[in-house]
Amino acid sequence: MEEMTVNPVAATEPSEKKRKRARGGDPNGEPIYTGPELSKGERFRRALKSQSGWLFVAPALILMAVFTFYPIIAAFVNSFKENYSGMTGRFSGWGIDNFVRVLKGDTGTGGANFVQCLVNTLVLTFISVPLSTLLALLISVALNSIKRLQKAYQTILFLPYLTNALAMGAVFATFFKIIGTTSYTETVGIVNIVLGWFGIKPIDWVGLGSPHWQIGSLSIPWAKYVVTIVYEIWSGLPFKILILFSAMQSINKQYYDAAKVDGASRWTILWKITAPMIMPQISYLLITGIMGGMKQYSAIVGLFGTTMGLDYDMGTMVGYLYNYIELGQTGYAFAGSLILFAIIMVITFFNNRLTKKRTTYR
Amino acid sequence: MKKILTVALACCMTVSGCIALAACGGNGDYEHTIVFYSSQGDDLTGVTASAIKEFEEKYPGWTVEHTPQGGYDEVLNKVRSDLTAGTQPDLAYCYADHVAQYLQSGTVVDMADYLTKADSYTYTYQDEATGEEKSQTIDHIGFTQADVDKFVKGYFEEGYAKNFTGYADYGLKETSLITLPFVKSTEALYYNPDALDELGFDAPPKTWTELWNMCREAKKRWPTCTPLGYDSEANWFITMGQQLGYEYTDVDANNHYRFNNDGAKAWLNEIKGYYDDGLFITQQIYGSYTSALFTKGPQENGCIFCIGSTGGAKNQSGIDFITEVAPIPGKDDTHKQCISQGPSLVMFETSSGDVTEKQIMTFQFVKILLSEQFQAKFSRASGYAPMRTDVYNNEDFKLFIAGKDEDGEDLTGIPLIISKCVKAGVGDDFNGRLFVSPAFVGSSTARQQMTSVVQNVLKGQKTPADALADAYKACGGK
Amino acid sequence: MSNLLLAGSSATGWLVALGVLLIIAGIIVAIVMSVQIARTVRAMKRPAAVVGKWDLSAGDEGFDVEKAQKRAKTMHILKNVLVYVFLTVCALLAFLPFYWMLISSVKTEVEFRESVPTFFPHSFQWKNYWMIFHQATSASGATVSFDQILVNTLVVGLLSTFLGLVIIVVTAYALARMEFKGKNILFAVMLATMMIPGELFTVSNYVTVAKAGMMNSYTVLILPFLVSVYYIYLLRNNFMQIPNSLYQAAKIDGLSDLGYLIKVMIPLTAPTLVSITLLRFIGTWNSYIWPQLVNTPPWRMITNWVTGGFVDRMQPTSPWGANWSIYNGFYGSSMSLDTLKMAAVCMVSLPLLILFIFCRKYIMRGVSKSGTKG
Repeated sequence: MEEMTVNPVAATEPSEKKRKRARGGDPNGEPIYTGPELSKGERFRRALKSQSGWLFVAPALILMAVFTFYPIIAAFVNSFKENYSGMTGRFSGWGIDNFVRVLKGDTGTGGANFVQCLVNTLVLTFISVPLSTLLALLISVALNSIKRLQKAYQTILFLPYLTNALAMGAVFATFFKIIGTTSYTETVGIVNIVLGWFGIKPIDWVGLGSPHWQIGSLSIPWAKYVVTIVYEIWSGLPFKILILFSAMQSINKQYYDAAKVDGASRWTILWKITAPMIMPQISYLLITGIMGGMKQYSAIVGLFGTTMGLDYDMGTMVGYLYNYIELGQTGYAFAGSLILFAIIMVITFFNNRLTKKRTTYR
Repeated sequence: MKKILTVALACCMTVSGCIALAACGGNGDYEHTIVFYSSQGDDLTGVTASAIKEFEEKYPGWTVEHTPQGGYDEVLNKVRSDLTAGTQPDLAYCYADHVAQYLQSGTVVDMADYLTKADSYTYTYQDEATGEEKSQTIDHIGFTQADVDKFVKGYFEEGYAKNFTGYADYGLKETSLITLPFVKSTEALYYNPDALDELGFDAPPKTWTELWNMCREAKKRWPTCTPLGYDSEANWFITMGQQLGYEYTDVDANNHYRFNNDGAKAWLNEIKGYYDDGLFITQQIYGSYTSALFTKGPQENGCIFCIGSTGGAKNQSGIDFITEVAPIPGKDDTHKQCISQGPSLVMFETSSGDVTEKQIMTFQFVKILLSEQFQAKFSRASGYAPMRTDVYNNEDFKLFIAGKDEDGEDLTGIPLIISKCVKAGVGDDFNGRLFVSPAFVGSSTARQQMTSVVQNVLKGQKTPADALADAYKACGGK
Repeated sequence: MSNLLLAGSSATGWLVALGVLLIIAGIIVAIVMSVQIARTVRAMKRPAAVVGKWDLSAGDEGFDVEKAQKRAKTMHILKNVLVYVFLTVCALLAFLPFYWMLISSVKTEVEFRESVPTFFPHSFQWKNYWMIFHQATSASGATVSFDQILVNTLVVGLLSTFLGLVIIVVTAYALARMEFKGKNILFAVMLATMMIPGELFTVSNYVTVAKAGMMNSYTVLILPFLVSVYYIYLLRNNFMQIPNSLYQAAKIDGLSDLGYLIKVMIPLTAPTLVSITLLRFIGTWNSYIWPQLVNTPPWRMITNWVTGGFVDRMQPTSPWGANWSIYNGFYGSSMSLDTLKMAAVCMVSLPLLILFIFCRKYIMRGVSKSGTKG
């Protein structure tokens, strides 16, 4: 039931019109009737029959009307209701008060702070996505260059994809967790032990004493960022490897042979042939990665619990929405979801611009 | 291969279609079912089940569906979302904080209407076995005056509307009764008598100064122990406010949040020092109830004192020692307030079935929950204090407080601690020490913020001044 | 943290573990190397002209061909070794969390909390699993049995997968093969909704299902997620790849649209359908947020069950006697135990891994096509 990841690369297919023209007519529709005039009843019957497609799409359409189209409208309308109480449906008037309060962090409910959540989401996404894409690229190149055990490596590397973000978040938390009291530490976690070999003192990565930088009212819990990014890379790699590796596999071998005949070095081949050929996949991965990153939530719960760290300092945008739904402040949740929508739209816009540039370059 | 797949797919679709028809049947009939939300654990649901059995036998045709929701916060969240949906329960556990929010929905039942209502009521039901229509009469809908006189006055009066700001906006009168106390708890000091002996102390600490001295001694004796475990950060902050005289919150709607003051800062600074010396730990910081540390004992790097709810007595049973219980320390002999908490009951108007009849029946269930017998039973199982004075005259209960079971045998293990706990919370002296912190919309936010203030300060994330200022802002600072 | 036992002092377990890893890596490297060397030797015996795969530049006059070949070979082997080492390290890191989850789930809590964690459990405590099945807690600590949660997950998983599949197939078919007024607009609108984050719907949907009184049912877990625009899109494209001649032939044979769909289209796109089925089931299995929001513990799903704190509780009855608790006395109170949590995490993760082992091909293909988890 996780949300869909939009696939903008795949979505760039020729429009219906063009396709029809290319096919030179419409082969599927009812044949154009050229015989004698039909009776009224017969015409109606045929017209009805030609519309029977609606019957097929009806179930999906009805469900979408209730659970997709209506919510979009409702979100727009309700987010402008001031002092909206989900409990009673009462509100005091129309205005942009919800948005102002959400952005100012002045919700008066002790819930998550929007700016904090936004910063967290952006920082985590824009660090972990490029890093994991780069790593995935390296691994794919390595996978592509071997012959033996290729399938085995590919399968093992794919395993993290199938896991449950929440469950594996909890496992990662145990890697970083310090258990004990101030006076007696029971265990500092594997990561701290390994760091200890290099003389680094144990850091409280995920606990309440986790180190952070304070910038005004904004908290930068860098230790928790590190933990989350490590997790995000681990869980994001499989999909990226799968896509990049299969793209590399499908590159025509003739290109390589030609390059070898020309005496190109391996690096030259990588940068001049492989990289441009898989550019669409890379940009697709960056886009889906960023989209997915904007929606992260379950992993945070797995790592830091339902309060998302200390005072929601690891809150994410989606976490913000759920936090306010739970607090019964539906108005703020609506406003927050619209702002999230706007941000994703802006990112999509820039992504599309970038993708187009790349494609024309190629 | 493809054929097999197709066949498999078709089969699965058929099967799932059939299940769909069977499974999506809906939620059944709630017209004659009373839904009750609580935060009881496994052990206490068993006790409540006996009350439900009694009710269902007494009033055929009616059933009670008791759904424990986890902790108090879960009950709050669930009720709040149910109110949004209009699917609220008929009866729920509540804290005064929570009720302040529920009131906004306009569905909270004024129990004053039923409290001593002398009328009789007859309802009809279908006999399960024969299917014929039968009727059953309730002689006296409410409590008798004699019953009401036996309620502990202090607890009982917390439920009147006058204690909830803005009650008039929701169509309630000053005399409206919004909640009824169910059982009450306070905080108690659980201690390890063997460890105190070994340190050369023969009595538990009466003041904080004494407590911290003992902690320092313990720390010298067992360097890896953490002498004190405090389970609730927020309670500590609020209680110390009462004892030391700094302000926390006020019912005044224009100026609810008053905790950002010098007294609070001074106290936070003080405990920060103790924390840094490793003298205590709190629940959130440890990540589990500190009773887990307490029961291990100081030799196993645990605690020798634990301050926790009397409702959690069953968790405080020492492994190698017999736990003793005392009231929490005070600032001095005259300032030794401790917080009064524990679940109350709130009734909601629900839309399924005959509204009045349902409320009357729900109230009959409340009557059973508040009966002398059940109160005694529940208290003995949990460590909570009963809300009726006559329970203390109950022979079995008297024996229980004296540390004996029904047959006069000495109690051991968990029942013994519960008995000590109930005993520590009784007595004329004790009732004078209890205080209640005011409830209003936002008072539970304030509580949560106090937890985070204490955490932030102890963990060195914020200075007391910053932490309090941030908390003030988070509450919406009015 | 003064008494903190930093590794080094008693890190034997870790040294052993590290040793094991090095040995594994070593074995792989050795196999690869020996194969490479054998190939090289074989290649060297053959005339120089056929050898050159990587050393095309090495054919110049006056160049010490043999030496250059040797160097190139060494480089090649070295590079291969590096690649294998890199991949082995990555694979081990990818697998480590699973391993850790498995061993932690059978450790005793005391062993789990040892200052230097053991890499292989001293003793296997299968009681952890008994405990989580009988603890009967869920996210909030309310009483729900594991059986109940499993039934919920399976019923919702199967229903939502197969009902969803029916809707996806039928809709995709109509969009791919049938003509009706407004089809293109409809399709465009459907695609457009994919750009909107699902979270925007959640708030309203929550209010909708609440007002409709659907909370605490399977329906509420299934209904809002039945339509999946992306899979409709995917399947439509798949359907469109099937040649039109087939459709026309079927029409001539007097096959109705539905008949054509069932008899021709579905068998032809079976692999895609299997992939979609698997991915949707995995997606449902992993769902957390929505069930947490709309349902009480008895109606929630398996992932929600994991987030419940698993605490050491007295069990009134157990195969090991009455009033038994897992650390019998040592942590006798309501301590939350990480080992129990890991056991629960295993219960959630392992079925997916088993599913993967049996349906690797379909899952990987589905993922590479759609990029979703369901």
